[in-house]
Amino acid sequence: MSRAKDLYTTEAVLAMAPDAASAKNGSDLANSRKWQNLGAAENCLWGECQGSGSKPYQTRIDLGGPAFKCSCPSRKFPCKHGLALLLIAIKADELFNVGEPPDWVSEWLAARGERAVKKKEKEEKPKSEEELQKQEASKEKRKQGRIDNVESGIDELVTFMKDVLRQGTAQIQNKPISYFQERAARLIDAQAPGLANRVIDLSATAGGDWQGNMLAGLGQLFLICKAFEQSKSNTVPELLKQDIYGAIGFNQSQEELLKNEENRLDGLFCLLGQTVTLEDRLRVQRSYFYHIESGNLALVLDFAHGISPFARVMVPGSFYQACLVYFKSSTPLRALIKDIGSRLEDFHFDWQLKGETVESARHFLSRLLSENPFIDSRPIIFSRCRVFHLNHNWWLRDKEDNHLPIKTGALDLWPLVAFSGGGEIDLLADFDGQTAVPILAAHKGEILRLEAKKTSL
Amino acid sequence: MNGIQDKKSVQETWQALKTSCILGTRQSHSLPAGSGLLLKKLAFLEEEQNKGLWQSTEDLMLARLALASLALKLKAPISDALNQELKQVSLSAAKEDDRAEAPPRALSVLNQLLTDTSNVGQKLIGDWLSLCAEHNYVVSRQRLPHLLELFRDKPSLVAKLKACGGERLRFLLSQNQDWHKLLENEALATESIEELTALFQEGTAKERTDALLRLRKLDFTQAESLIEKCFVKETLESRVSILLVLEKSLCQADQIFLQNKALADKRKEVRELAGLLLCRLYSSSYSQKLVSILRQRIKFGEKFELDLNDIEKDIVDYEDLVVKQNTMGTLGTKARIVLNMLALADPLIFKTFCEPETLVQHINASEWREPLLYGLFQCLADYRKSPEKTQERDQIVSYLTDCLLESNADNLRESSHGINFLKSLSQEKTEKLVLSRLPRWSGSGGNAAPRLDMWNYLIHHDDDWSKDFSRTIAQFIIKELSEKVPALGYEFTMNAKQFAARMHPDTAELVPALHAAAIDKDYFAQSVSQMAEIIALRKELQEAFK
Repeated sequence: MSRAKDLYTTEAVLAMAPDAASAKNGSDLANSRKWQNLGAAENCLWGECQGSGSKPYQTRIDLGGPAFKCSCPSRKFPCKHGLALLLIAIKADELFNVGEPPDWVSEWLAARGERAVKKKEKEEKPKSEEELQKQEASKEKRKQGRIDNVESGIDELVTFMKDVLRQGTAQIQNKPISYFQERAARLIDAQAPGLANRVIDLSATAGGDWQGNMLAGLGQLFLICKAFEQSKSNTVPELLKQDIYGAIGFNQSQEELLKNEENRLDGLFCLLGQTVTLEDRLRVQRSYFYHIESGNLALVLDFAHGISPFARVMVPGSFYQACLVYFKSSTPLRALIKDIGSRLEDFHFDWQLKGETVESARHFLSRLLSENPFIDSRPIIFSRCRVFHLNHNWWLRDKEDNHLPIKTGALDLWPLVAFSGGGEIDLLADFDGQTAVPILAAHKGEILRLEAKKTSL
Repeated sequence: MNGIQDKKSVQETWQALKTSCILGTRQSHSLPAGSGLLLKKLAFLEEEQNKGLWQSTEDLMLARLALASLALKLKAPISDALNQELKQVSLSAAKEDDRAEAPPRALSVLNQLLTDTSNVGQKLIGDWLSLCAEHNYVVSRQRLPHLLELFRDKPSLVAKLKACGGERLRFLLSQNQDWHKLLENEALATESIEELTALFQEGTAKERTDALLRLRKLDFTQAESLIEKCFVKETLESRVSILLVLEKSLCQADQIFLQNKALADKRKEVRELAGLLLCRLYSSSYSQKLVSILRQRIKFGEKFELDLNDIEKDIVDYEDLVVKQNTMGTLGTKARIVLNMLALADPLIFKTFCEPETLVQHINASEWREPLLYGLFQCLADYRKSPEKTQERDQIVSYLTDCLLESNADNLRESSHGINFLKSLSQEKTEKLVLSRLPRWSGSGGNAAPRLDMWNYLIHHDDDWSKDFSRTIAQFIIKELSEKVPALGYEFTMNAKQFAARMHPDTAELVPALHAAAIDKDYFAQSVSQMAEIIALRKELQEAFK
């Protein structure tokens, strides 16, 4: 008997699949006839699956992570064999022979352990004073060079924005998309990718109130540009400076953040859910962590190119003992995982998420904007709210009977109606002050991740 | 930022800014008159301009936009009036289901099935839904919207989903009108006669036929009077569509309309269809007159007699149906008349002639064997479509069917009438027929039946096979795979998955033997392997609900 059944559910395993095809193929392969030498030890599983190659693929799983390894040539992670093996263990663990893992499994487990130890040692190894000074000087030089670059980019951007206003936005619709793309490219050259992305957003000259959106976008850009100008003075608080630099596209050193003790949040977290979006061939995974004690949210971003795997496989709806470190900001949200334990089993949680009403969310956002005016929206939990459809519009009704329009875009909200049955749910949504864009819903320990409408199977 | 939340003043100020920016700052950059905190703040920016803080008008305008864009985020998302209006909307909630959701293993099978959109896939999804209802489970609630979308044009699956959708499905149907209409019965409960009448009068072709069908169930008299009034004014296509709606819900009360209006139509297509429907109403005068003509012309005593002299005069009213219809191109006029008259007759007529065995013997011995036999095949096949089924008719139809299967099973595939008769057989009778012929199909020599016919016999039925029958057929396939020339032809390879989808799940015991038998059988390996996969999937489906 393996522990897989106690640790994971079929739904949780399918949620780990990197894409829908892998989930389907994994389910198809979860058939014991296609496997041989199925085995299990306390914290691992293994099996051999005959694929198109001459030798069967050797698949192994460290249940603690879970971590997967397979000898198949797939670059997806976890591959369909890993998913299938875990699915079989959940469905029919009696098929697994309990015993000592074979060499190809134990060697992998040992190597994993060694790597973890080496990583820890490297992180803890002290650097000499001279090395540190040299490193610091070089970093400062690089930073100053970039600031100079950004300044020149901003000068050109302000000239561009003034030009737009002088001509009038009525002229903009006739401009080719390259009008904005060239400006964005220039900002990329000036090492200000945050501004470049905002300029690209301006180019959406179609749909309802495109002129209003463009003008609001120009206002925000101008605000950032002016704030950057002001940030050179010592009167600007350090955290606000970080927000200004963040809006421009400066990254904070993750290594330093992890060393920093100020912004850490320790304790028990629930991984409410994950979304994956494709941004310029880069897959971005957003993991929403809920701190059980404080009710604070933390957003952890992971990146992967093409179909390469994300650094960690975590199970939405699960609980973890972890230490997260927030990025420096006057309104902290984005965080890094400093340390995270295995998924906690049998953790009892009453699922009374600390959340907001429409009014309190507006006050919260108002407070955030007064500290950091560069944020566009914020993920917020609307607790005990109801979602309904009326005359082709979607609405959120909070526990105080106040309403907020829901922006669906490509999202399909009918699964949410089916999930809630018209009853109260906790809804995690991106809130921009005017509308909510649902991300996931939670009800009595069950979590529903909202997805784009499927047009076909 | 208090005061900035005033939705109206923010909106008005923003609108003024927008207008300036659309025109361009060269033409307009002044602020509107009015009150509101945002306007005051913007005016303050203008004062700064006068102090030289902003280098140009555009700088000032950008600063205004920056401030106003923040105010936009903080204004109330909807007006108080709209909020009040929305508060009046009463929200219903789904009742708690007393049934549990289908187990994860079953849901995993459903996931797998949903990836197959072929007919076989749909059949298995239907099986999944039936098993779910049978085991007293409901479908996982989050999947309902996806299934409803998927089953949009598959009413049989919607009906099955209804049985296992539980309270959550009922709730979803009440929330989404598009889905609500998927279930006809639910639609009837809410759609008024007036709405349906209007839809029939003004809707698209599809809407009109749907509305008429629903109206006939809701208020037959209104439906009848509606088509009475409009029928002659309709196009040929619409008149045929109306009669096809009648065919779906044919009843004795349709007789008058069919007789008076449809049968008197100027177009042959309409008259033919009307005649056919009237013949299915055995108690109609139209059908009874046909039976009385047959009684006068056919005598089954000690000797079979058929009198066709001057028959054309008697059948003037049936000319379109009986004389002009020629489904068998090789038959002469009189043979055609005999075939069509028998095919349209009330099956009770055969009871008045003689005992069924004798009747079949006479037919087989007659020089008119072909038209009589094919007419009888068709009559028995069409009986299932009649709304006037009675115990007495059931008995004679069943008895005659057995007699024909006993003596004329070899003739079933000779004509379309025989195939129609084959299609109308119950699953039990089909299995009996196939089993009785199995030795001849697998044998060789003079007594052997056409070797590949068997699969043609089976393809016409959609019902699930019994356990013993499934096992016997699987064993037959295994045996045939070891033969030099297996009795598995094109029909088998093309439909192997469909056959497997009807086999009893316990046939899965023979899956390893099927796989083993298919090794090195290049031509059949793939189809037998697919068959084995589907059988195994059906077994998994059954097990998943235990």
